[in-house]
Amino acid sequence: MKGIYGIPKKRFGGGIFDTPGNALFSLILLALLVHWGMGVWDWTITRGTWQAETAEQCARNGGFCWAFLRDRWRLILFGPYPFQEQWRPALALVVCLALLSASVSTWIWGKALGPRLLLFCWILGVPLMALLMIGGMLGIPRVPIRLWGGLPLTVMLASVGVSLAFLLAIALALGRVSKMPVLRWMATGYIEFFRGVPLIALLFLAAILFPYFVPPGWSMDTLLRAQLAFALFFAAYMAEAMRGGLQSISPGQYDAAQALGLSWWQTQRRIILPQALRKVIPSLVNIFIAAFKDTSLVVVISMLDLLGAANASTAEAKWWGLYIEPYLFIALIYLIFCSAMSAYSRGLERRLGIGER
Amino acid sequence: MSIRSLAIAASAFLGLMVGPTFAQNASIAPQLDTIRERGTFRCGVYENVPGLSALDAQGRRVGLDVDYCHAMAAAILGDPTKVEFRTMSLAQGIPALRSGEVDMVALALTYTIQRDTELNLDFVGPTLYSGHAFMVHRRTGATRLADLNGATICVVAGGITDSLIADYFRARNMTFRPLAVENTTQMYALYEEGRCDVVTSEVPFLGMRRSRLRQPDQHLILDEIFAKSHMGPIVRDDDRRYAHVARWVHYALVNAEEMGITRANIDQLVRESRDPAIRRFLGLEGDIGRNMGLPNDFTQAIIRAVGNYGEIFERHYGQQSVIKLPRGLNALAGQGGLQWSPTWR
Amino acid sequence: MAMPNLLSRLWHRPSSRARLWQALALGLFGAAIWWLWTNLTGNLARRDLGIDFRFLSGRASFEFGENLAGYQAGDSFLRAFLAGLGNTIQVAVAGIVLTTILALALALVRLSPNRLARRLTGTWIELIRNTPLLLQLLFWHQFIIRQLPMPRQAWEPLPGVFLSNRGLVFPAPETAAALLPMICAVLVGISVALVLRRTPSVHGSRLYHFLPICLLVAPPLIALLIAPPSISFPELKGFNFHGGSSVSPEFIALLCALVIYQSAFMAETIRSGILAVPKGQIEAAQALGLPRFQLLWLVVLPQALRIAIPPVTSQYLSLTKNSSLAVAIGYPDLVRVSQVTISETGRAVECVSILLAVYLSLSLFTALIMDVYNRRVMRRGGAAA
Repeated sequence: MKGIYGIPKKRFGGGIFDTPGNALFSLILLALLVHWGMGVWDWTITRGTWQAETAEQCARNGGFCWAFLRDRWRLILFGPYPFQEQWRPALALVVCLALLSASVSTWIWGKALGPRLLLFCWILGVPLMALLMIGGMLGIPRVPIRLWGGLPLTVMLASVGVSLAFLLAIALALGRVSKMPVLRWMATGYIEFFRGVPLIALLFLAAILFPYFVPPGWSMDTLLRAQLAFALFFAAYMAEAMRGGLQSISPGQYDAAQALGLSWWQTQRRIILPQALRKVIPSLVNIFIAAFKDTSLVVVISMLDLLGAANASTAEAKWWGLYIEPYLFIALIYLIFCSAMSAYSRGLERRLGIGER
Repeated sequence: MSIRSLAIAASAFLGLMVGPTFAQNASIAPQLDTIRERGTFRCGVYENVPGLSALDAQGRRVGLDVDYCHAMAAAILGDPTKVEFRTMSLAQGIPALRSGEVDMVALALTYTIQRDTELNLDFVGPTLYSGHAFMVHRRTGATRLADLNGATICVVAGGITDSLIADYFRARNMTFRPLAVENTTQMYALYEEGRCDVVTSEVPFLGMRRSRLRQPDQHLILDEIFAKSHMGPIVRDDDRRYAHVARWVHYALVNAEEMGITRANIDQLVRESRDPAIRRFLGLEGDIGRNMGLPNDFTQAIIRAVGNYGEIFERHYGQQSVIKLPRGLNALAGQGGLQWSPTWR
Repeated sequence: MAMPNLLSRLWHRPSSRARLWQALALGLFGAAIWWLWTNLTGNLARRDLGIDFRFLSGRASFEFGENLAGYQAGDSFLRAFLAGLGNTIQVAVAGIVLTTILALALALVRLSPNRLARRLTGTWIELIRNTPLLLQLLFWHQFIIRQLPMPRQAWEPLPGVFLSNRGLVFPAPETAAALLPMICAVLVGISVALVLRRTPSVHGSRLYHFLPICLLVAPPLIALLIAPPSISFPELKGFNFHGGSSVSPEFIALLCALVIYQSAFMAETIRSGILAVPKGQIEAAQALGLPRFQLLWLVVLPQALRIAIPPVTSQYLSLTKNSSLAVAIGYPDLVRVSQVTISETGRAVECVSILLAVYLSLSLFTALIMDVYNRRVMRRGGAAA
């Protein structure tokens, strides 16, 4: 690939010191970088405060308030979940992350028994996580849903929401490309509606209007309603991504399936969907990243996810006034999760040979 | 399974789903029955407004509003602990009540004619009388209301204080810039950082909040009260019977104080009192409670759970609390205050 | 048994089976809608409510800090909604302009010959894309409120422009009417330019490239000299600045967050647009001996932007939808107005429907325009460069 200015990308010094102008520019950048790096070092380490009881003591040094994070990191990570029981969400989180990363590992999918083993692990893992989070059995005390919070809540909202959305999205995408006009219109209407409105409006709908739309006496925890709103919302985006995959399948595949005498269902299940979905995995991962970040919107309906818990962590008078510390801390967590996923998605894209030209 | 049977199953499902909808919408269950069937009383309260509703050191929810929720649960379900608290912001309260999400909203809302007549809400109490005042940064140099022209004022979104201020300022040809925030914690934080010059609230809350600011002496609470305030829990008025219960639970608390019935002496009074008024109030004679659709001795359950009005006030606002507010307007009518109960007969 | 045979024949004919499926789907969909609808009306009736938009003409008692529409407490709820919509559009338009500029700059640096610069922008884009917008928004809001000085110690980066934790105050014409001559001048300039564009004699000359600039800059300048609008300068009186025009810290925070976040996404879109420009085009331009800047400005960017327009438009839309996060910091946008209106009037169903309808029509309207545009480009065959 060539740089667009007509200069080959790789020459002497990898494009850092190749021409005098470039070298000067690089030097300026390097100087800035060093200056900035020293500033960060000074702020976090030299002037950072490790031992302090209040925000004011931290403010005296003017640096990063490590003491705050030492005191509050568990509140930020687990929200209002009872302090003694916090090993449970931590363990559930580990199980969940292990299962998720196993599920996207191409190595496992390549093994003969891999997919079955994976399914088995999920069947075992989901009730285990539920047991850990909810409790009320096997001598583990029950923890009501309204006390869930922090990172486990964020991961749950995103992964359950996206899993539900995935199933709905397959139906929607098939409807969107269907030859039957009524199905196509319905799917199009759904997709356009949900892609046209902001997620916040849907969360308000779920939080405020839900009781109007169900028979009197029905009730559902706000958390589950938000979960539902997430699933419905992201299904539209996933369906649109899958439509791209479905439309990229050559008509020859359909003809071949028909020639073999496969029914429509069989064709979709065995021929079309596996190919189409494989093509759109990178976009699906990107939607998952978006969902992971957008779970933070539940803050506006007063729920304590990672961002909500970070806000709550400074509510106590002694830590009042800090904002950079909690926000940087959770920014780092979001960054780790999202970067890992996007690196995965890019790697996959490269392997599948799409994307970059 | 063939596709045909799938189709049949789907149509059957459709029929089943549609059928009961008719039946369900035709009948209206009385609110009291709904609550009893559910077994819990759903109550909307603030997440963290000390005095009204906040968590104490042991993680229990305490406050004046919280006690009204407990009193309702005690009256209707016979057990004050059967309350399901739903924490919400001021702006979320009325929508949540109207949608049926909660049975009562105890967010210390001000009693206004519009809320009563247009929003079809019934007010309980007022359970707390007060007045709105302003707190300013001393460095602004403002000492009177008239000095506040052009100030930026923080208010909580969805309340009525901004419209009260708007009226007050307009009548005096003054202007202000409102900044509506989601909750009181945010409001005081923005005020302290200097995003607003002025913050407004009911007098007792202002005093308490000032004591929690970093430099309390840098802030001045103006003496002038610019609007009266009278707050209480609200319920929907679509079920008269239920609305009556909510109103009379409050009066029971006040009446108990008038009669000198407390958490401490109630058992003794139940056993020994010969006073027909007290016996009627405690449900030992007559059938006031039964006629309301409650256990006849519902007042006993209330007083055992939370004490009388005076006890509640002292616990959360008075001498036993950090706020240390004098009874003032919230004393009984006979003692110079405004709290009174209709005759229990 | 003729009937089952007939049925079975119908079943095995694809067209009738398709019809059955569609009828079933429609039935299910209709039933679901009907179920929700009867629940809604039933629940509303039970509470003596109905769906009624007449409340919009009622008087709203809340104030907002800032709006272009001139709304005040005591105006109707409809005006309050329009003012909220105005605020949403205001931040969206400002956001779109700034995002485009920043994204273009990022994309160009991302493709620059300097590897260090490329790496740095790449890292920056990754950092921004991988943290939630709401987190960035809250951060900026706190940052502005806590790091900027009080009005009395306000920074004055330019004479008459003040930056404090009450926002940015700057000189502005006293009334909108004062701008009328300028606006007329711009319109005249544009129409003259459009006429001259079609004139063949101008078309060929060197003058052609300078025409737009001359015609867009000169008339307003002349108007400015002939009829200068009266400008009001801000000055500190009592609590705050009076005079001039101002934007609140909430607006600035929202704008910062939206521009920074959205530009990171848009930069990648524009970058892939640039990379998608056929290599032959660049080589041909190089063969003609075009200098680097002209190569970029005249050959690469026009084609790249044309390729990038559909995805960029959808990013503009998502910026507009994301501006609804304003509710978290108290900027009075459409969502905030409906939230407050709900608590004042209790009309939750109506207000949320208005909210959904407004955003939906914005999206559909944009989609429509994009559709028309795409068709035009298709018709031209995308060849006009």
